[in-house]
Amino acid sequence: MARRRWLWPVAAAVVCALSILAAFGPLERNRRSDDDGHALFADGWRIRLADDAVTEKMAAREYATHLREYADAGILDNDLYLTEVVGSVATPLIAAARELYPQTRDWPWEWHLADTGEVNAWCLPGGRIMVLSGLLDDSVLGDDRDRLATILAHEVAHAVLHHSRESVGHAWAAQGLAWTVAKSLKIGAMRESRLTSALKTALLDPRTRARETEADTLGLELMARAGFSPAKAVETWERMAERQAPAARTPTAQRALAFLGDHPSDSERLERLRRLYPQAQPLADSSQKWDWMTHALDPEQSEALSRAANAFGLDRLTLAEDRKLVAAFAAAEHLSTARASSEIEQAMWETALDPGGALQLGLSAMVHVIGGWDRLNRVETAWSKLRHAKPLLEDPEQIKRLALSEEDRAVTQTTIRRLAAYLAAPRTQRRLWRDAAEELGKTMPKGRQAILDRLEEAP
Amino acid sequence: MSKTAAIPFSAGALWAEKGWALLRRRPFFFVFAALAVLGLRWLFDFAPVDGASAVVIAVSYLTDALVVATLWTALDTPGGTGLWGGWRRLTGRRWRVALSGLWGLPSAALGYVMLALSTTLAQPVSMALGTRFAGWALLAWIFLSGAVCCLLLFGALFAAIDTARGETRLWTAGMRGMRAMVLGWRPLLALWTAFVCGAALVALVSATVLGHLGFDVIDGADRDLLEYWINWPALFAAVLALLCMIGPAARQLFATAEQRSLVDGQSESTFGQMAARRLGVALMALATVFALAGMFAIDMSLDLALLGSAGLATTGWALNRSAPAWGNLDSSLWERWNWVAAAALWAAVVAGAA
Repeated sequence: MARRRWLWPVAAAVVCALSILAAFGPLERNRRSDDDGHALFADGWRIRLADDAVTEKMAAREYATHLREYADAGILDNDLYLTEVVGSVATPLIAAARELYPQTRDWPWEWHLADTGEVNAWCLPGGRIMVLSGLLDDSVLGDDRDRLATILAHEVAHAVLHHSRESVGHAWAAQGLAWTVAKSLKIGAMRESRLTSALKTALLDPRTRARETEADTLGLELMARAGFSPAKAVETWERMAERQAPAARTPTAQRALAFLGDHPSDSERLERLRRLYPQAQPLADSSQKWDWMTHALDPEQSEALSRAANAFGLDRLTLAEDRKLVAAFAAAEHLSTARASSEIEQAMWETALDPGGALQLGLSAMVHVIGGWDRLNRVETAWSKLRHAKPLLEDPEQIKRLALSEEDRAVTQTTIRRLAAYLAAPRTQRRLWRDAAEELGKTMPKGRQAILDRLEEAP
Repeated sequence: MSKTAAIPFSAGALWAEKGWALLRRRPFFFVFAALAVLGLRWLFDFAPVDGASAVVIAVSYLTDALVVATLWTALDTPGGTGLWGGWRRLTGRRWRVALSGLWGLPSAALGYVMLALSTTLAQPVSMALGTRFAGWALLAWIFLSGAVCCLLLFGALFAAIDTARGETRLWTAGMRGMRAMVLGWRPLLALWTAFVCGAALVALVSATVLGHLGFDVIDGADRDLLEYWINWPALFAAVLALLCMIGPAARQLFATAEQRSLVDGQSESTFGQMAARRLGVALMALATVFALAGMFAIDMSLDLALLGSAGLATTGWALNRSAPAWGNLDSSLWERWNWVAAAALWAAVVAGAA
């Protein structure tokens, strides 16, 4: 029998390789350990070949590249109404994620909307969220916050579970293996890419689909903890599934697509979510009040907001200036123009301040941009001490006369600009009109239809 | 053990032991030879992804044949000589040796077809048996495709060695090389398995290294360079191991083949006939799989699948029919290769239909 001396260097190399993997392929568990008993998702141990810092840096670069590209094209956060919709959903989701996964508290969380028209959203490592405007089109999710929360919570779940870290490491490994095999067997670049893609499909895609399932489950939990309706998750994914061509919706096609695609089939996803969402409902019911928009304001906040709205001049917001719409409504309901204006204004104030209403979003943005309740109170107090004060939106120059620190003054100026642009945005006006029309429709259906028809005709 | 059975898996360990002894005796010799092969592989990266790439790959089979024949000749010289000495002793046979590299083309063609079909074939499997099973099936298919490519590549290298030993006829050298490969398929498969496992382990370590080297440590062009070169050491180790073992392997397999010829009358001719017949049947079986894939895979039109299936079946049938010519030394080129015309005709029809 041969003495097998060749085995020693081979064994030594294998031991070295395994030691490196054991030392640097960390096995991690991230979720807060003191769970409240409502967890839908148990974070398991997993091997990650890439370090957090490396993927974080890669994500930061990728995000910066996108931001530059979108900003240069003038499509970054340019739709102020939809930007506030995104912010009003992202903010409570971020709070829920930070609460549940403490290591994400140091992340540089950020969110933006890009008006590319594409239907997509993502959250890169480090909490860098991007929503592409096609997702918020009326034919997809519209401006429904619960629907958007479903998608964003799924993406945020990917980020907090470090799925990018996992997939980057695994993809490098598959690529390395494919490269070595291709070079050894003298496979050219074209076949090397085929081999890489086949290896990724065989080795990684089943894992990718498992990650998608994890993101669905944790996403449902996050959105519930953030106060959004988990029942809407099923409806949202149904809407997303309906966007596929009819041929791709058959069970056979679904199974085929599930193998070649990186997401589970729609039928699997919907079945799982239908099973899970009742468990998430108690979480939504008892969710913490990270976002006053999804819950009632406390009396102190309500008072502060009322005074601030007065200072900024939000209480003077009116829809009646759009004569054509008012006339259309008046004609449909056989009302005088004055009566029609009055009915419309009343309906607007009844709906605009509802949770998720257009004005609520504006107020939320105001509190968000100004940096919180304390500064809002300081600004309101300083404004109230001015003689012959006018609303800040009406006369922004007054800011120079307010007794405020330089920082407070600068932030307030930004807030005024942003708020003015938000209120003037066509989408905001459209939303206010639409909500008012729905409210009016409860008693005056013809008037409602006239407004909606007129809005439909408008560019 | 039956005298006609393929040699056992354990022969691989014996080749490794002998290869290890050779490497320890002449480390620089093998390192230089491995570097020469790697240098030729490096040239692949400069070929564009089109027809030029295919030409570079085809030429590489010829250059690999020359490197292996040079190495064999150098080792086979009494008292031993260097690579340059081996190259000089090949004088007068170099062109024939280079041509024997053409026996590597079946490896390229079969590898291409098997890899191209991989995801298409996995799709119906996933629909019938689920994605998890399809994932494993695809992995097995890739492993099998690689093994077939690797075994055929060994056949070409053995053909080059046979030419270096003095065989003058391309067909006989090829048949002898392929026959040696078939005799040694078990240990060769074991070597392929060890190589894949080793490459997977090294790829995991490489990914871990890349994943833990922060951008503050290495970035920009340096990082790109590292990403490009990080897998080369693994390839070097694989090529070095191959070059060390190819000599002992060829020696044992040729000796076994010659012994079998004496004992049971097996020859290159009968081997050629048997191989052509079996490959013909295999192609016809593949035609059935292709037709089934066309019926179930949603990204392929049924017409195209049936056309491709008919082409494979006709080619297989023609190859099967040409089997007697492969067993007859006096057969004409047309009698042996007319099945290629059938394949080319169908390929043209399929390309036209697509």
